[in-house]
Amino acid sequence: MTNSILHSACTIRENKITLNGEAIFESDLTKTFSEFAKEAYHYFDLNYPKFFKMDNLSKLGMLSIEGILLTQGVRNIINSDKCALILSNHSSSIESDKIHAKSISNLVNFFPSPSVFVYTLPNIVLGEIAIKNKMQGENLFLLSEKFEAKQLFISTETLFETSSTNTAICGWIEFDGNKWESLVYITQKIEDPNQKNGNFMPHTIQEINKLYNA
Amino acid sequence: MNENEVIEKLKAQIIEQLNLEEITPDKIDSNAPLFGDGLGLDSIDALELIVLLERQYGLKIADPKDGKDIFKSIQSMADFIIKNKK
Repeated sequence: MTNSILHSACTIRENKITLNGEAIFESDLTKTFSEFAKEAYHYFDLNYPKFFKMDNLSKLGMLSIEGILLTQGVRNIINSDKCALILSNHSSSIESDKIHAKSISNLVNFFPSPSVFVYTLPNIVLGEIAIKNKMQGENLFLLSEKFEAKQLFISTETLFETSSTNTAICGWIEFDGNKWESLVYITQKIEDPNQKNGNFMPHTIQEINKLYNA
Repeated sequence: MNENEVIEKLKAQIIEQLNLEEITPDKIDSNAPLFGDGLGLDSIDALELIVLLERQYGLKIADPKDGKDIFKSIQSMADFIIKNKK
């Protein structure tokens, strides 16, 4: 196991974006996810029209990354092939899958939408994030029954030990209709064994679970 | 439908089909390129336009090589619809 730290974390739940424990954007709970996402898009001043063509899973992933990138100094460390992206969820791309399935269920009116079909894989969210933020490192999308800190921890530590990866943006991007939530956090490998962790929490399964349950 | 009506209908359909948020028909120049500059559409949008022509107008593009000219602008799409719609 490497010496690594948890750098920062961003959660999005119940129409609220929280960065490192502090609410940075909040929308009325009566708003749908689409309405919330549009408001958050303007809050982040994204100026990225492709956002509106994405499925909800990718929108949630994009907003989560925008949130964590507000942490001072983080933008400089992700534009590197040493920064990995490791995300996970339970419902895969179920929402886009259902829309696509419906579009091909009627053989008379058979008009599947290419722009829906391209989102019928959960790892597309990784590509959208990587393209927007010019990330060129390793990427991985994991499926699990529920949030699994251990799975994320092992995957990240394996990359730290076996590749040039020294930073990873990890987390949980779950979207299934009205049930949605996200947590992304940044973990960094400490290269110098004598370097202290400073004010940062150690990268451990227990601390990752604390971030999710906060 | 006359040419102007086809163009206006097409603009509204493209905005809806391609999720062009915050773009209104009056902001679209009928002669501006659909790809690259102009509306800045991508390859997936191109596929959506092919589906749109088939679903809304019953038109199929027989030769893929024609696509470049047909999807040059809103005007060229309207010309194709008017010429081929039965």
